[in-house]
Amino acid sequence: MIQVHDLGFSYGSKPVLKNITMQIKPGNIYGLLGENGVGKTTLLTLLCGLKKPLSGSIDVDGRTPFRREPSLLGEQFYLSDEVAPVNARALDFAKETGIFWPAFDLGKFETVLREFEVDPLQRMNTMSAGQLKKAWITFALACNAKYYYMDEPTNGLDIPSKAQFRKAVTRYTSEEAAIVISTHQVRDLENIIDPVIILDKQDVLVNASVQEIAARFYFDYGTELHPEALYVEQAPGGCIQVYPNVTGEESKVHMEAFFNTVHAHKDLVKSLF
Amino acid sequence: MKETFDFKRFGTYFLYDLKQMGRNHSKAAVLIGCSGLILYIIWVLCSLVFAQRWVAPPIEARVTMFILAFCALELYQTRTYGYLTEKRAGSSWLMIPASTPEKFVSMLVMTLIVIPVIYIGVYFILDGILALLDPTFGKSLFTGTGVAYNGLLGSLTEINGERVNLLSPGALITMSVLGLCFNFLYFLLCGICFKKHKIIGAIGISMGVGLVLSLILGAFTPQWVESMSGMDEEASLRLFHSILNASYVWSALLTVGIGAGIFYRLKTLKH
Repeated sequence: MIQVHDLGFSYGSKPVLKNITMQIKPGNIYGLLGENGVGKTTLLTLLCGLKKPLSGSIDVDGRTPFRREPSLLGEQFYLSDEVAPVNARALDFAKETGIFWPAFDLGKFETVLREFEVDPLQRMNTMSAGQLKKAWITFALACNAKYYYMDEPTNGLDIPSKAQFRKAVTRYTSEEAAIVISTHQVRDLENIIDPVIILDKQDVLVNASVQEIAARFYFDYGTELHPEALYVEQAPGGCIQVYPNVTGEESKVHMEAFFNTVHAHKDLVKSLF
Repeated sequence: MKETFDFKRFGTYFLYDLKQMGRNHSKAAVLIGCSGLILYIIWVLCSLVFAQRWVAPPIEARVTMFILAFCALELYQTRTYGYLTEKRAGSSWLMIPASTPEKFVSMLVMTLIVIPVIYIGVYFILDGILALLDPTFGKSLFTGTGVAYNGLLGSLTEINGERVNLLSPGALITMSVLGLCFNFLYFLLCGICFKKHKIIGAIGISMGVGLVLSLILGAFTPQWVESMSGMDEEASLRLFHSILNASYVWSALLTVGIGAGIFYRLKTLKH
């Protein structure tokens, strides 16, 4: 389990994260949401050990990520937003680099890459941006890591590939894995992420499961306007309204509408969780 | 210990590093290693075109080319691991499950042994083959270097025809090796510290430090010369040996310091 306690980070005199406290539990796919520049990538790079916290601590099963101990590195994978165009064929890259991850599965790499319709024998520095991203996603999944940190993984993927990505993440990761996916394209991933972490400037506004969100908010997809609606969005054939769930009635969470509700009523939402 | 240094993992990492080096830098290796051969071909072609006769490059041109190739090799050290400062490739490298000491040792072996041995080896082998095949080429650089080394040693061990034992062969070799190690590591350190303009940055710093040191030394030199003017030969020799020993220690300290700087940089590298 990952325990983040009072985490703080800044770039020079500009604070990015402040007093962040949260837990990341195994067996979940966390959606890390937030506007541009709120510190999603910074948080991911702190979690995986690419950056050192300026204050507070991160504990991953009793280890500190920034020490970059091989045992922890072998249990995690950080997929950057921008991936490197390696000067090698995808299969060779996987053979040579995968050897460092104890649970790496070359067969899985080939299988998933073929599902993504990318040739394992193609050189990675000749791939298109989308193909390259798919090759790296496949490599990440083949590492069979316990902790995944994926920064905007669907950026650069076409529509079928986004669906393949969702399928691959749910199918090819362990039940015990904790996956943190940062995205600002909520619709791409709303069917697989649960729980949701919403970051605001220097703060965590929400860290809750979809069930908890549904228990506190009602998502109305009807045509009749509700006077207590916190957020209203026009949709084909009606509108999406979000209002406090006072009746306990269940509804399907619309992640984008929820995200916008959170941003419009930060204090109210924070007090509810 | 397993987290800090594991020999099996180090072996795996070293092989990985070697493959990456071969894949990403083989073209440069070929270019630098074959620069003597390239010079030979151009020289012969030019002499055939302009003088209508077969003339191999003279030893002066070959030595100059070798020195230039060696300088290029030293400067190239800023490129070999320069990708570490780049976000995409640097992040991937940092996340490879091997410890920092393992990555550091592999980097040192690669920089101080593998790369120079391969480059210089290729250079000398090609030069030796040319010396064997072309009678106008003269002695090979390898033999020539040995002769030059002995000549330098001779000039340092004899003054006015008398043996003075100023410098032993071991001392000369140690100084040369320390100097090479320092240069290679210095350029490597600059390569992993500067994000842009690595070569200009490395040369700029070295020129700046050289300027400051020469200003400081220049200020003290007249006093030293004055204090040494009344010395007899034995005292001068003792002083020379003391300076020599101090220079060993200084070079060794500098080299270790640069090595420590590289390790610290790897340990604290962030993306």
